[in-house]
Order: sequence, then C-alpha cells, then structure tokens
Amino acid sequence: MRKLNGRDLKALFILSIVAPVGILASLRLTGILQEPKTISETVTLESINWEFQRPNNDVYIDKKLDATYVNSEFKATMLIWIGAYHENDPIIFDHLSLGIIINSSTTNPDGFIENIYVVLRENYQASKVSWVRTDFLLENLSIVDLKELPEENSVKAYARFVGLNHSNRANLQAAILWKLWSSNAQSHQMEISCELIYYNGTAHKKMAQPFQLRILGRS
Amino acid sequence: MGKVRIYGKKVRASILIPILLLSVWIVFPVSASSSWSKPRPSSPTPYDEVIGNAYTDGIASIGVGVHIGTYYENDPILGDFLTVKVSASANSRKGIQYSCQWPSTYNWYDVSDPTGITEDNSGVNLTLPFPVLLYGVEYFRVWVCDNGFLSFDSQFTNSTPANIPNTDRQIRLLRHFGETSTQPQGAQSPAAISINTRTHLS
Repeated sequence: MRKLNGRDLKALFILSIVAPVGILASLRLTGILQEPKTISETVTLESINWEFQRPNNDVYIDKKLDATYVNSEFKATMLIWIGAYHENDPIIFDHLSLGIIINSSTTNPDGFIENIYVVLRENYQASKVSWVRTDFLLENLSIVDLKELPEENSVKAYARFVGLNHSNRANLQAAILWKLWSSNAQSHQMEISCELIYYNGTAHKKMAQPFQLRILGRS
Repeated sequence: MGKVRIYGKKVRASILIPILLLSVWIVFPVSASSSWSKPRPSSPTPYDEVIGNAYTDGIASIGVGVHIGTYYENDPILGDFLTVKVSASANSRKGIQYSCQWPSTYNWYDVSDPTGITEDNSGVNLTLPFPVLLYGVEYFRVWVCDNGFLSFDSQFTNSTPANIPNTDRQIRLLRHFGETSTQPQGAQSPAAISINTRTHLS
C-alpha cells in the first residue's frame, strides 16, 4: 500500500470538511433536516378532568370535554370525545373508545400552524392505546410519526403532525381505543396532552392543553 | 409389538407410529372453515368464534386464523364495528426461506391534492389504480363524492349514502364522530381514501 504524502493528506483533510458540510447543506436545502424551532413562548392550560366509575357492562358515555384557547394571533379548540365503554371483548378485553378533535388557526396572514403533537400517558402497565388508523381526518396536516408503545411504557401512544403549505388553518380528527387489561377493581388514569406549535408571523409559540381521564375501579 | 424394517434396520413399531402420526400432523395441518357469515345484529353481539385454514405443499405449511370477537352497535366514536384478530403462521421442515406479509398499508389521498369537487352534493370521476370488484362487477373508475363515499355507477348526489350492502354500488368512506350519515354544512371533501379488505356482516 502506498504511503500517503503531504499532498494526499491535504486533499483528505479538505474532503473530510467539504463532504459533511455538503451533505448537511443539501439535507437542509431539501428540507429533510430542519433547524430546530426556537419557541419564544409556551402556554400550558389548566387540565380538564373527567372521571367515571368502571362499570360491569357496556355503557354508552358520549361525553365531550372541550377546551378553547384564543389570543389575538391564534385560536385552538380541542375536544376529547368519550364514546363508549365496552366490557369483556374476547379480543381486546375491556376498552373505551375515544375521539380527539383539534381545530386551530392563526389570524396573521404570515402565520401558520407548524406542528401538532398528541401524546397519551398512563403509568399503570396493564393498558394499551391503539389509534384507529382508518378514522383519521386531517386538514392541512400530515402525519410525521404515529406510534403505539408496549404496555410497560408510561407513554402509551403518540402522534406527530406537521402543518402543510404554511397554512393558517389545521384540523384533525382521530379515534383511539384505550384497552384496559385489568380487573374491574383496578383504576386507570390517562393523561392526554394536545400540544400545538404555531408561527405568528414573527415567532414560534407553543400551546399545551392537558386532559385527565380517570376510570375508578369497583371495590 | 412387532418391528418394521427401514433401510435395512429394524425399528420398533411403538417408536415409529408416534413419529409417523406427528409428521402427518405437521405436514397436513387440520383444515378449518374459511368463511364466516352472520345476519347483521341490531345490538352488541359477542361471537368469540374462530375460523381458519391451512395449506401445505409437503415442503412448507402455512396457516391463517381469524378470531371474530364482538359486534358493537352505534359507538359514538366508531359507529358499528366488529373486533377481529388475524393470526398467521408458517413452517417448514427444510431450511428454506419463507416470509409472512401483511398487505401493504393503504395510501392516503392527500387533501392538499384537490379532488376538484367544488359543489355541495357532487363528485368527481377518477381512474382507479387497480380494478375493484364490487358485487361481481369489475370497476375501473369511481365517483368520489363530497359526502364521504364512493359511487361506482353514477355521480350520486344524495347526502345520505346507503349502508353496505346496497344496490346503488356505493361505499361509504368517512364518518364524522357522532353522525349517522350526513356531514355538517361546510364540511370538507374526503380527506383520505382507502380501500381495504374488510370482514363485514351481511
């Protein structure tokens, strides 16, 4: 093997700088690699709570928990729709159907919805959350990441959406099943956080609305 | 019990018979019913039934089982639905390669790609990427209607699409939570279209 001379080393040195910089620049230009957004302000709203005595049979609940956040530059309405509790399904066992609806808009013509993030957490292990993938309705949004995690995780599921075409309006509707793999004596508590990042024309801002759903076990 | 001669060697029949029975069981799995049909109920109905089928060509075997759970009626979020679990297995006695494939996920028709529907209770006629067999007729084009359903025979303008099965060659695609048939005024055109194989009650 030929020994590298000074000229070779010099070329190698330049290449080691030019190649990574070129790759980074092309990733940035194509939009694959995006600069992390600096959030100038985060508003976390008060949690909206709901609790329910765990029944021994199917119960149609049809309860809507809604929250609205409005300021001079942004408006968001978030709704958690509690559908029905079903008992002893042979396949998915006890479960609750839930709907999530988020409507958001910015008022400034230069503003837009950047991201929407929905995360569902429960510390109790014997439960799982599944997105009903055929029931997604999205407007000016695209799914970036959609996950259901194994029951040992406290984060049971999440969905990340990115706003399309810098639109100042973005809406979503999603359905989930919260599967309770425990006896009816066991209580469950789910935290659902809806987080929206928007651009108001000059800065990125974040708004978070937590919801807490408690199912109280029967003694 | 006597002995059987195999390749010049005597083997006790009491050893050979269980081996033969076991190999038959491996190579020819028990076949089961592969179709399931029930009248559509009007209230939640637990089924808890399993159907399945298996196939072998003497080298490898595959099996598919479908566990039918419960039919739910009028869930405020999901409407009417049936829980179903699909299990599949494959094995071979020789070291050959095999794979189990779940059908690829559906492709969303992005709402940013306009359908061209501008009027309420109207539709647009699109070419299908593959032929769709519906009630014995193969269709190559489809009307996508603004009320959230597909119509294969004509531009159906009614805002209340019929449930499946129907004679109007319609497939309802989208449903807003808590609604039975129509979208609210000003609702968006279909944001997504998917055609999946579904087990449905007739």
